[in-house]
Amino acid sequence: MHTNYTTDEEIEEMRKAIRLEMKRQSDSGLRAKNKLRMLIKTAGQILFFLIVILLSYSVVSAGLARSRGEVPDILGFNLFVVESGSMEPTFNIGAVIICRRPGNPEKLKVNDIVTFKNLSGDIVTHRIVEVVRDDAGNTAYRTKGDNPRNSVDPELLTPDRVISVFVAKIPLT
Amino acid sequence: MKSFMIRYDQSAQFENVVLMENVSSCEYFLFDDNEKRPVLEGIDLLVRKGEAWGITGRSSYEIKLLLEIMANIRPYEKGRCVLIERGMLRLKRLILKHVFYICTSEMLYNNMNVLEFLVFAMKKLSRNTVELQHQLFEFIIDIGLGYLSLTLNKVLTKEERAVVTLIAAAYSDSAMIVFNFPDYDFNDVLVDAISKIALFAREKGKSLILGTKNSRLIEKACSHTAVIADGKIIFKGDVREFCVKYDNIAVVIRDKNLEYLQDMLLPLLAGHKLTIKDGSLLISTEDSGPDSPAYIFSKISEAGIFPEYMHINPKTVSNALEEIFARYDLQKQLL
Repeated sequence: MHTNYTTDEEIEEMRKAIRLEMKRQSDSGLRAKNKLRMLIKTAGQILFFLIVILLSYSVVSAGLARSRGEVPDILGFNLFVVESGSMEPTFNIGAVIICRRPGNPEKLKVNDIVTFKNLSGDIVTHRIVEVVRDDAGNTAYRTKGDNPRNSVDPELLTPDRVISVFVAKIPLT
Repeated sequence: MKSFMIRYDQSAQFENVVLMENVSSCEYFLFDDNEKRPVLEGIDLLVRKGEAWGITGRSSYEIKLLLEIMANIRPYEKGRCVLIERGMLRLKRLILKHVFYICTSEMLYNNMNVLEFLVFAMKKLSRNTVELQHQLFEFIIDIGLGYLSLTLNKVLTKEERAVVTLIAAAYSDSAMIVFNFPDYDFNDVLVDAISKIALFAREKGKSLILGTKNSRLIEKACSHTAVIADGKIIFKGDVREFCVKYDNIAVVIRDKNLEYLQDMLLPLLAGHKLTIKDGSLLISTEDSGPDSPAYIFSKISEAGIFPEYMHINPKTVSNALEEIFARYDLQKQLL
């Protein structure tokens, strides 16, 4: 046999070294770490697929909502782009805001920012400045844009016209 | 053999790994009288999942070319060739993911030893490198190549390097391994190792196609064989069936005086052929003669002849190949 070939002693030494390394791994919990890594990886993959499914669903549902003349909605949340300066400095023109469907449109409070349809059919986002109740117990809201140049809106907002309530503004928009 | 925990692609539900129907090569042999014939012509072959085929013949070029067509390396002129039930790409020389093609022993890194190379090559299939290293190391020892395990790749012979690459192929996720070395001279240790690797690969559902002229390799490592002569397949099927069909030697006798024994036995064993080869007297059964070794033994003992050594021929691929080629040549002369 060629002198450079592996000897039995070298094989035995290598075997010992591998066993030692395996023992060290199992002692130091590397196996557990590997399992955790595997778990995280699997969870990541599941999350990725969920996001893909969600995005696909959003695109389809947004298309359908638009075709019906409704506001697109993803799992109860809406995205709006601010098109006027009536809410400056809270929202600048072009800002993207996330809103959600209100649980009970009759129970909104002063300072809530709401998106609603005005009587002309335009979609407006303004702040509630007063909750008005009549003798029969019906609720309505007086709204106003945050821009100091704005006066309160001339018409009262009835709960049935409330589309959603402001949740967050997407940064840098 | 130890159990292995590496991930394999077992999801693929297919049965036929290679299906060749009436395939003829684009390459031709040109003869003196300007006559030409395709190097391979009318090849029909079906390799199923988990089978190991030994493709053999007298011409290394024919064997090599057939395996190259199977591995999508070369185009073919006529016929149909389907790999893993997916069809073949028009774009040739493209390495297909499901085919592990080995045709050179230069696939190893010279700066690594055998174990390092195999761990490096297989790392993506296992999350735990130490576990992988352990499995590969024990596997190399199990197949009788422990003496190569920590040896630098650069000092290995080309045959040893080819076998190391075959280990990597057996561990890979490719469903089909093509091992194209008809001219390599594998020694007994390497033949044993290849047979164990073949068994391991077949257990994992892989198919192995060996291009070889080594009859012992076919005998030990293959479940099936195909014999090519003049560009055509003259036999294809089970290796045992091939040996039984073509190896007609019934009894082998060894003695100091073989010529004398031959003269004595010739009149006693009508319907048998007696030939002296490599220091042995071979008693073959002709088509019409009784083929039982018991009959031959009884005739010899009845005559009061007691050779020094006598045994039943275990039926070998080597003898069968010799016979099939002899019959083929005879048939050609008669035509």
